[in-house]
Amino acid sequence: MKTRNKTIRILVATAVLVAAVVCAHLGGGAAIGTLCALCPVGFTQIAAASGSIPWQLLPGVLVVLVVVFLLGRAFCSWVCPSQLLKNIFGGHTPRGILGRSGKDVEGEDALAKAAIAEGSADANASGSAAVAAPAKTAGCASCAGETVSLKTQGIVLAVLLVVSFAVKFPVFCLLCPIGLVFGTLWALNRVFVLLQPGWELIIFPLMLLAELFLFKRWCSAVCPLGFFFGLMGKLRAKLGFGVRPQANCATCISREGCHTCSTVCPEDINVANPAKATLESCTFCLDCVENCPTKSISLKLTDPKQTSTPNPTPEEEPELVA
Amino acid sequence: MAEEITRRGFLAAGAVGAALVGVGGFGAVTGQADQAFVRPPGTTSNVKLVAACNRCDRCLQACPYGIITPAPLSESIVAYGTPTLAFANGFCDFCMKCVDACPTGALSYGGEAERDLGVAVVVKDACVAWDWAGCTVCKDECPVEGAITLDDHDRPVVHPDFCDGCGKCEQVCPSASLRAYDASVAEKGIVVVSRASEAAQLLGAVMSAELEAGRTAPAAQPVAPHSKGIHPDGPDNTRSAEGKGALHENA
Repeated sequence: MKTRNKTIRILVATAVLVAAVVCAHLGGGAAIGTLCALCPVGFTQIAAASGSIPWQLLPGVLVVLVVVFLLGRAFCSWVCPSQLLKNIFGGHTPRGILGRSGKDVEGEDALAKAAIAEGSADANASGSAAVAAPAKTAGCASCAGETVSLKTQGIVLAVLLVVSFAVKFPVFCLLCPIGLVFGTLWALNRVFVLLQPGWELIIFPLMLLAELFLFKRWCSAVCPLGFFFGLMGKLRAKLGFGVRPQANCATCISREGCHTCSTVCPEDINVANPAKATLESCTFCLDCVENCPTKSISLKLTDPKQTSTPNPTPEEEPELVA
Repeated sequence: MAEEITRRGFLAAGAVGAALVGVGGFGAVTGQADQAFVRPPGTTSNVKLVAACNRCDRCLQACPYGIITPAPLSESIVAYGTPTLAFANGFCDFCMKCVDACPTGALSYGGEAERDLGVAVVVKDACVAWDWAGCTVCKDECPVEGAITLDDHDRPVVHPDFCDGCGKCEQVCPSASLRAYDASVAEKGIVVVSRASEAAQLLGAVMSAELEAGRTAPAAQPVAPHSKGIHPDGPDNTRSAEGKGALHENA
């Protein structure tokens, strides 16, 4: 069952794809792959593969990074075609190879606490749970754990750049789910407009299927685009600047043991605890806003240091999406 | 803040890293980047185009004649989505709109082959003049004086030092419409191939099978770009093989 929030996200992302296809057919100079020209990964990859920097791509890439700095990783929830597919075909909030990691947090809570006490290797396995557990007991003002794996994303980026440089062609474009979605659209276009059926119409959707549904960690652990977004997120967090969802301490019942927000959050952010993690990895999916039992969460533009004082008076920002 | 690498995350990243190395290795072993396709003007070489192209399809969108088509996955995994030329419905007049549209410099002004798409080869068993007699359509329609001449038997002969591979001859060749359909015979009696292909190395007319075998197979040494011949179309209305760069300094 789709929530209202998710339906809106599906509509927005679909509208972007439809707009891309329509633009391509109106011949406005915006081909189906035009969005690829904005990709920071594509930029670095082509620079590595061709051994020269494609300067003409740079302005678009910089604009994307500035937008990410200002708006955070909203792209991931609202525009990214692979997230769209997850929203349409996936479960409620698909995450983790074994299912929703939110469930794991609850299930492994005791285990995680034990693991902390023992300092055993198990703590790494349920890392998010381990960090979430003390945060919950500490109440409204402590730090939440970070779960976006910039490191693994960075590894993927490094590998793809090295391989692209070594074999002299952009390797990741053949695996990128965003590219595969556009490739599938183009293949459909070929079949129905140019009447040239090709294997890509079968192969690309299969690859997408494998990547997104057998491999649900893609967004948090693999996506090298997410690495760039994560870097901008770190910058946001460092400067303490930006819009992010935040709980109102007056009505939030996280002290009573509610952690609905962190359970529904696809990024495993403990929204009840204002921390840098929200600025850094929030994708503005607004699932926490929708699911909060006391409707305590809203989008605010606040300084985290202010909110960590006992009685914060955050200035209310109008909600972007009701 | 210390970041943790979760086991699942690490496995996922490792699997994708392995896939990247696998795809890269496949590309390196098969040498698909070298495949000799007929490319839009402004292509330096197949390898460089494959490296620099981000498959955005803007050249395809910009082409007023609809002759640019992305390489299909079935022909090349590495070069998938890079622009190739198909002359079934049009030919290239070197308007260079594709080069202007390219955001990555994969198509760019100034290269040796800036206005050299390839070379036409006559297909013996498909050409009406070879098989029978009387057809001179390609020679009549060729926009470059001296690129196609007729031999003693009134059969077309292509001169690689004049031909710029614009594709007009391939577009107008009536072979397929004048012959009974035979799947083993090329559809056109004259076909443009890349100068880097094996097929371009075969002097004189070729058989359909030879064309098929050597059409995109890379040759050890590409045929030199044309050095003579004037194409009367394009933004400057005239273009000689010499002074290629000079004509487009302001573009």
